[in-house]
Amino acid sequence: MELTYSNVCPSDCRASCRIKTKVRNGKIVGIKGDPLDEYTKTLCVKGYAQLNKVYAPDRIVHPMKQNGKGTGRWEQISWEQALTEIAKKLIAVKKRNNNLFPVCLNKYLGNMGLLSKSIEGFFNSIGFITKMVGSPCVATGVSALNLSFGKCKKPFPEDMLNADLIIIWGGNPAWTTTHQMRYIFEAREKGAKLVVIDPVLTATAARSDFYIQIKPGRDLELALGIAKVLLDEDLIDRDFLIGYSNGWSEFKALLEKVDLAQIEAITDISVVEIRNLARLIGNSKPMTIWLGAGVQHTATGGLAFRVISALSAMTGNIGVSGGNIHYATFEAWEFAGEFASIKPAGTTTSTENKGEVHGHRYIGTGRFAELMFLEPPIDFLWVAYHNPVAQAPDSNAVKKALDSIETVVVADQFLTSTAELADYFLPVASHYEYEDIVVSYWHYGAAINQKAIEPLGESRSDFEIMRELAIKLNKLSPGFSSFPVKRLASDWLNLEMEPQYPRLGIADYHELIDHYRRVDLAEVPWQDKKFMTPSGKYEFPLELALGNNDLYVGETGIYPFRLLRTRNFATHNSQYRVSVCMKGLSEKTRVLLHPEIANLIGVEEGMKVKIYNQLNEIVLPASLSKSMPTDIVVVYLGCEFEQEFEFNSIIALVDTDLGEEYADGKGLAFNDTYVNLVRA
Amino acid sequence: MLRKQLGFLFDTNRCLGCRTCITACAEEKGLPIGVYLRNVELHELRKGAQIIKYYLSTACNHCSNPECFRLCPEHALRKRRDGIVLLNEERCTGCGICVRGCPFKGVAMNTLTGKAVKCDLCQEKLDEKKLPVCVAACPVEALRLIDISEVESRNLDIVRRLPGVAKIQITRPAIRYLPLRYGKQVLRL
Amino acid sequence: MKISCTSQFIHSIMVLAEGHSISFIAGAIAKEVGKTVLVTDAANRVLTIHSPVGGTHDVGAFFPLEPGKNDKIKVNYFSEENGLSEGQWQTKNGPVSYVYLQLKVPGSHYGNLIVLSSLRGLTATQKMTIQQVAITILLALKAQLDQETERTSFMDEIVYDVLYNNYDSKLVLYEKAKHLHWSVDGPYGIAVVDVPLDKILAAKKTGPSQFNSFKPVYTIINEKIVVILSLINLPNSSIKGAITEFGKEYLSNLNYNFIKDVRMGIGAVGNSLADLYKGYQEAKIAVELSRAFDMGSICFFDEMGFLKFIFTAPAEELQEFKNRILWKVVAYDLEMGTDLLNTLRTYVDRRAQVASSAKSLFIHENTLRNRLKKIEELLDMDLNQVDHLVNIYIALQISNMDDYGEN
Repeated sequence: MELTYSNVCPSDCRASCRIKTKVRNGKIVGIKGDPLDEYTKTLCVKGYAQLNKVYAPDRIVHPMKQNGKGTGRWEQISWEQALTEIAKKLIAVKKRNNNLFPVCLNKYLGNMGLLSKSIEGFFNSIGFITKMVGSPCVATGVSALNLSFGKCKKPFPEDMLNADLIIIWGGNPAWTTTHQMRYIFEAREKGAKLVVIDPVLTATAARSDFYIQIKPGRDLELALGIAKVLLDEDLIDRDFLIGYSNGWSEFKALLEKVDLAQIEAITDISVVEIRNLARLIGNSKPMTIWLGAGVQHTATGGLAFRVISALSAMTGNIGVSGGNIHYATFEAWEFAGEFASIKPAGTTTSTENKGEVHGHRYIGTGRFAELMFLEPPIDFLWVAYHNPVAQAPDSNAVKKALDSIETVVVADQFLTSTAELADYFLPVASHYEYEDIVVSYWHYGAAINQKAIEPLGESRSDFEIMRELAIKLNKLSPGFSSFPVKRLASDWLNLEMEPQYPRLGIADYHELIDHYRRVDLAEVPWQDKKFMTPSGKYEFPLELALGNNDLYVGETGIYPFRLLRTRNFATHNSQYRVSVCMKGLSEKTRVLLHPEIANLIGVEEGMKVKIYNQLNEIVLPASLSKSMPTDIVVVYLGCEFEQEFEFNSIIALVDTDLGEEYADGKGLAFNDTYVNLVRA
Repeated sequence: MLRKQLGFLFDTNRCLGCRTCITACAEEKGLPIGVYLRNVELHELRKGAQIIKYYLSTACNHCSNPECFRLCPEHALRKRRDGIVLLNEERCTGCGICVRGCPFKGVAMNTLTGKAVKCDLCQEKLDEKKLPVCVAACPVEALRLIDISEVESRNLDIVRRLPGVAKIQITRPAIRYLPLRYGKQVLRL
Repeated sequence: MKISCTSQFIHSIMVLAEGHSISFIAGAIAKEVGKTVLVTDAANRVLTIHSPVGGTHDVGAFFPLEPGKNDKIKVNYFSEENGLSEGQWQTKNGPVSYVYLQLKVPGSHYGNLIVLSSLRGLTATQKMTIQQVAITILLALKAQLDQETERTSFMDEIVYDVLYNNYDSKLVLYEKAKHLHWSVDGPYGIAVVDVPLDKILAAKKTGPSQFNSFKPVYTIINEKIVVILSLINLPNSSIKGAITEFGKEYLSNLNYNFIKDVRMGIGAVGNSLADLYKGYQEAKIAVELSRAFDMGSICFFDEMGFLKFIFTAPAEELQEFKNRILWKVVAYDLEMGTDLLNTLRTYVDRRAQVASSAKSLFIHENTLRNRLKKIEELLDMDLNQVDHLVNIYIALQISNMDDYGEN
């Protein structure tokens, strides 16, 4: 018999595609985009490949224990053994230290389902621990926009259709947000122009009306140059500036000091073209800006975001349909709090209470080296939905940290490079194997994820793992965890969703099976021009204006080439990167070079290049392209089936300029890595 | 009095190189990992100061003069009245002559069955008046199914070739393109 | 407007209604006007000829009708005015005058009614009779054509199915063959004829009506005429000669009918109907190659030697080979807006003669030498070295195949 289920892709992706899953005899036989989904309708390349991923030969579906980290001497163990041993470790840590700070949780964005919060819920239930939090990415961008607007808000994705000019700055939606391209093309057909500003001629840039090849990391300066021209040529919206902004006169004074010739020298864009671009921006109404992740991964990314969005404010494009900034908003998530509200057993104090033990200890995500110098030191690390060896900067530092921790537990579906350094591997069920809900942070669609098949092998959902662990803990040490183990997953979902029901116009989350529902945010934000800053006005970035003469930050690297990385169409961060399911589809990782550079180091297409810096060296095949500038190299991250290197081992940990306003630490400037090349 | 010839109309101005068409097709046809009936190629070339970069997604071109059809020693290929070239798996012995002979990489070897496999334009779906999977799956409608002879008789602005791509024409492939448009490019000084 | 009908016209309509043939009606006019009367189809193929005096002219299969001054005007079969055109037929025994009327209505030309006489040799009444009876003949031709069209499209489909293996079993093939009154056993010969598209229907009808004492089958598939010939009882050694003769006759018929720019490709003999598909593909490829390389009008696939060798090599390898040899020149041309590839092609075509190449390119010899130097540099080859030149020659031939078909 054939049955059809509703699923949703839980990836950290704007689309959060609804999926129609066909199941025959307990096996998935087909997946399709759900025509009900008003935003996506179709899946992406990765979405379709998921089917192979579920049944991939390299998926691990039994609990495993490694005798010696990194030795590869894995043995299959029972859940009973795994949970008992892990529970005993936790109990021992608490006994030894009288607190749980040596326990560290590193959970990230591998799954956006509501139930994934049960992991935090569990750790909240046992006591105050060390948590790795924040974001290497949005910390910078959200902080910047919070400072300017008081809150990070964005229009509906479809509002782009109303734009007359679309600027994509440092983003490649063709490969990261394919569905949005449909609206971009439709807007163009109605006469809108598409401008792409990017150091690399991406798939998106190749389809633009106007492509600006910016020098990487010079977004702030180019934005200042454009702002200067807007001011000089009186292409500004006085009503907005006078009525709804704060700090305009200071910002204006700063712009008056800006020297376009100097901007040209810094950005590598001629004054003539800066003027052309500024005029296009000033004369197109409405104009909207897509802020991409490329900008926020540079050392001045936060300020750059603020000045780029100031272009929108100066030209009166805030609060109008077809205008605004398309970046991100987490407003659709401002509800779920059930798991977060779990308090450790016996604690009545809230986290705000002062005292020696006042709450969790926080470390910025990605900063693994710091783990080794904490007091009390970390003895136990739980990694969920994350592969920090592949994703965090300086992979070798991450590996060293993992190596130094007594017990490392990795819950995943595949033996990732992080899992290779684990003591315990817990097999997690795929999203087809348990019920969950995902709410999109881009189009705010809420989608149900039904259980379509039984979990493969002995794999379990994270929720089940955490619940079972709580039961085991309390059996071995009564009262250790306050996790409400009797509550079913469906009860949790209902509790998490209850405050959302009125916003979605439903009474029960199962209604999402047959309906596309969107959280009721405004189609166009800031229409009332009441900003959520302390002043209630749009805030110009004054830190630039306040006597900082050294406007232009110099190059930070001592190596000659700036290293950028672009994500392959088939990868999603490190997901799929070492997956058999991408075999024959994705290209392998390679380094893109200008032929002149290749000539200089004596390599030709396909030959091996050694890329090195102070951190490490890796060897990749070269690919030559005349579209590459001569001072940068791009690593095009493809899929490896037998990984021989860790790309992030040459990525330096560099802070961005902003982050604390939103998260507990600054973002990471992945794009501020410098390297040298030699023929391998 | 032109004969119907179904084929693809490909819009280079829309293709994102996202490869969704490839995996959607493989999923529909239940192909083993690593076997695909479509190819997406990147073309990057310089014309004066302009860098032309585009993606091209192709499958079997359902040629008027199909090489696979001529070469197959087993009589395993046929061409329907609407132009679709079909491969009869039962007759295929997996010799691979068609795989090597096709100028467009339009035939693949199914590693699971040991037989050749190729795009059939989702004929069963067509017969139900539905679109081929790749066409339906494309997020930006870069692929369309057309009757080549009908479209050509209407003299639409379509071309047989794209810049920098040498594709053999002698087999009369049933694929047409919308001509490539170029934007302005400001490359670094 | 008052129309006066001749009694002959009314009689002819009656005769048509009774089911008599075109020939019968033409015979009646011949008798009436006392002159030889011919009816041809639109391709000038003689359908019937009648002489009231018994003696006949050796017309041949086609009447050499010359376009007349009235051809462009709309024919009004009932006007008092003279709608007849006049022409001269050059025979062995000297010129013969004829008058004719195009049997056409807007959008369709069905044929011609021809009377061997000068205009002066006909009375006003005779002219009127010819004009009016013409419409009866037109109706008869139209009915015949409609029937034929129906049968033709039915045939086209069946022949298509046979040539494209479009049947599920041998049994279905037998059924199809039966419809065509064909024997499933061969051998069969197959030819593909490529003519300008606007002439294709006329060209299809001009093919010889006999081959090896069978009627050849003519169909149109994918804008080309496909001819299937029965080779039963022909000795192997004479097949090629017979087919060549057939081709020549066909081509001369076409030429006679002002159909130019014709190519004929001939594929392998099919030992049975089921095997004919291969020969069909070969015949098409022969036509395409003959066009791409500007070869003779009649091309046998198995005689294409070097080109066939190129074409039958795996296409991907060909592309790879060509790209490896020529890519840098192609890329350079595109980037710099030059046409070095054409320079190279001309140079190779002109047997590596600088003087004649330069002349044909309208450039100075030194300019050519400079360009050739640039080409050598890009190719990393020496144009004076025979093995290099051979590689370039092959690559250029492959490139010819690629470029072909664009316009």
